[in-house]
Amino acid sequence: MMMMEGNDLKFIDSVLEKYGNDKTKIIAIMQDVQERYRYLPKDALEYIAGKVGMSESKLYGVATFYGNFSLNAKGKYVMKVCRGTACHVRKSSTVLQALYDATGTSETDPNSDDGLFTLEIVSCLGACGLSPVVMVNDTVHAAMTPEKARALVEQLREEG
Amino acid sequence: MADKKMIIDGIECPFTNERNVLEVARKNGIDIPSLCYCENLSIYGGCRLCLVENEKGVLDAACSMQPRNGLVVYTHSKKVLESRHTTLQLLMNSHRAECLTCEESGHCKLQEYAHRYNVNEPRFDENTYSKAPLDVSSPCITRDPSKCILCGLCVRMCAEVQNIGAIDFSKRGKKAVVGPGFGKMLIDTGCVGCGQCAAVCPTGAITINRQIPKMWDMLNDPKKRVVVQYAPSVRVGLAEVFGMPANVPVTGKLVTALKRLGADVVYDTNLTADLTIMEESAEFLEKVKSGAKLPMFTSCCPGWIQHVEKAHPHLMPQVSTCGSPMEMFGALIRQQFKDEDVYSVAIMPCTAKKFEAQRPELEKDGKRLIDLVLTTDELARLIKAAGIDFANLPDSEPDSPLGEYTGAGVIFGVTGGVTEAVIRRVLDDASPDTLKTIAECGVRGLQGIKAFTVTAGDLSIRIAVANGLGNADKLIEKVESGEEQFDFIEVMACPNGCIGGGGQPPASNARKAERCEAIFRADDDCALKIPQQNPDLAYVYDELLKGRAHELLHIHYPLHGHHE
Repeated sequence: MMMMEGNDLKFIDSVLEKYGNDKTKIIAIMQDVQERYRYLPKDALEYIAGKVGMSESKLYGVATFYGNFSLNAKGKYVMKVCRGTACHVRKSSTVLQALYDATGTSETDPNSDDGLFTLEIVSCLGACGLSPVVMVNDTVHAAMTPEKARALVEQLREEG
Repeated sequence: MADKKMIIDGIECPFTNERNVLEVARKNGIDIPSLCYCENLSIYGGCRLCLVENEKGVLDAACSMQPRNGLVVYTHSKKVLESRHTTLQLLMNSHRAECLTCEESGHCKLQEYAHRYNVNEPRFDENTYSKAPLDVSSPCITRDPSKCILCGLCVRMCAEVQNIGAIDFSKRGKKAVVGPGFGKMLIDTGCVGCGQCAAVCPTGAITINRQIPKMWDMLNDPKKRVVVQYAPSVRVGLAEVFGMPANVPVTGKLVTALKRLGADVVYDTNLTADLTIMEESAEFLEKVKSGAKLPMFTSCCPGWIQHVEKAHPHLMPQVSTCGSPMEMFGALIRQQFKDEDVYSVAIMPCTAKKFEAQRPELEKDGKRLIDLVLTTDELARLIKAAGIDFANLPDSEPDSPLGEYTGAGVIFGVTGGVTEAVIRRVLDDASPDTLKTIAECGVRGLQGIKAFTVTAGDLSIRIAVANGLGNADKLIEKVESGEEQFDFIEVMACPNGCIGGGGQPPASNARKAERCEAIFRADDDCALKIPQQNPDLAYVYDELLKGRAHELLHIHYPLHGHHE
């Protein structure tokens, strides 16, 4: 268990303590862990499995069942590009392509090499009136165009 | 109160406390198909093959339907047949059907149902079977995800009965697969190789790691002296494959079959089961005398040993250091045929024995004690391949010397058997009255956990017997919490003990109860009942072991810790 030491271990233990090592609260535990690391580190899941008394394979099953959990390290900025019906009609495909080009990512390789960006396609963000919509972490960007998308990437890159 | 009845296909079917309509139907001679149901596991309702139609024309799964008085269902209405046909077609579309070359061909339930319900072609041209890689990491079993139909029987067996959970579902929808977490291989999980997953797998997705060609090579090699031993439970699992009753042991025919296959020497592992008892009871009494930490756990079962190593490593020093009967016979064979080119084969009811035989500790004087382990299933296939009419074979006896055994050895095959044999040894009295008292002390029966006390002279021994690793874990929890105290604990990894081993032909609970009956019949057939009566033991200790008994018959695995 290489990664699980020092502060990481302390953090996971605090999450487990918060939920009383209760396996029926496993989703909440995993959400808290993902919030900190932006993904679910394998070592953390193995550690949690032992602590709450679930098999690793079961925990892996939960983590892979829900689209919201990720087992791969994500970029600092997770960009959720809506490809729902309303966004599609208002040309979200061109926004998506502009973001792929600007960040150097693609559908098969959604993480940028600099570790800054992860692109995700989602079906609907429930903000159809603002379409086309892109969500970056917790911020909603409305009425996107390819130009606005490129500017957004540029701005985030400057913020680092 | 009038008996409860339900109507299946217009037939009045009485029922009492059956778990579901599926069980009621099968008990009344109506075989509703199902791929994801097992009487010993929780109900999943996933395969949709057991759908039946009720009076309102609604389809529902018989495995998830509670029987009630007056309930009417139909099992082969037009609607049911159409649904069944479609379901099977869809299953065929996500299963790599290579039936001509598949090892489970003829044993596969999907294949059986496809034939039975005339499903001649899949629904779509494209097959969506899983492309996840073949897992050959375990010496015991092989996983082929491309043949998995996601029935989840293996998942439930591993988690619910064995409390291991080495494999589970992951991902979802058409990407769903069954396997270890994080893409691991079986060998890197808590898997102990018990093979119970393979026993419940309805297709060829999990199979015994069969080594039949290797056996043929050796049998046909004139330079090799092939020495074969067979375990107690083989004599009670083989008969049913050849259409014979399961409740009668077939020891004599088994020996004849092995000889006809070309084995040069044939021994009954029962002899070293007797020997195990001599060593194990001595070890136990020594531990009691010296005040060592109790309980002492038995060590015959390789699935159990691996489970202790992987899940309860701190308990390993309390596990007996006695080698398994298979190991001990391996050691005797090497002494008996010292300089000869002997190929040592063990026929076992067990897939985990394939792992045990490979362990580095099973080598003495620079020679492997066991070269090859074949399961009862593999032996049955060998016998069929040789065209032997098993049911009509004459009886033969094992070779001599080393061919003698007592009833104490043969009962190793069933849960509680090792313990009963130890009690017979310790009480040292072969009178029918004493044997009857022992048999009725609580040691017999197929329950998951048994606990009882035996008095020997001024010694009162508190004993527990568990079968199935989930039951063993429950017992360990009670011991560690201080809720219960025991001096001696027997554990067999497979439900019901070796008669239900992962290497045996898959069987229902009723069939396993018959095998249990057969084991005690084999015990009845033995004139000698207690291990110390075995006339070959003097030869073993004086001529073969010559003071090296501890060195050759005991196995110190790394976690056993330091020993003198």
